Amino acid sequence: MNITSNTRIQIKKSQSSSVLGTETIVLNYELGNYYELNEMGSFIWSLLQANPVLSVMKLKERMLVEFDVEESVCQEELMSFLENLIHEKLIETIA
Amino acid sequence: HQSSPKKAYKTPKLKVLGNVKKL
Repeated sequence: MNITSNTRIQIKKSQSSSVLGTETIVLNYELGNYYELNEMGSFIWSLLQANPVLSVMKLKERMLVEFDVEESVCQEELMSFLENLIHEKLIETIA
Repeated sequence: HQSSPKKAYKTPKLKVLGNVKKL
């Protein structure tokens, strides 16, 4: 699954999450798996929760405003993280 | 004539903790 800056993302309904300190625990009802998101992963997850649909570009812009990171690093690591979330059926892309 | 300092960045990570069906 290749995602680009223009890809729009939404959280799937078959999950539930809870904030635990600086991290987030997510349960996927469909697969039965449960996960831990680190602090940065939790930040991205909270943005997706607050916005029903969000483009990868918007996500990156918010990260660049809040965190001290180079754009190229941010882009690469955000893409990798989102692809992991898609693989685990926690988020989906929409047309 | 101006900002709050930016927070330290860490790589976003997703870690699989387990599976409730197997449990």
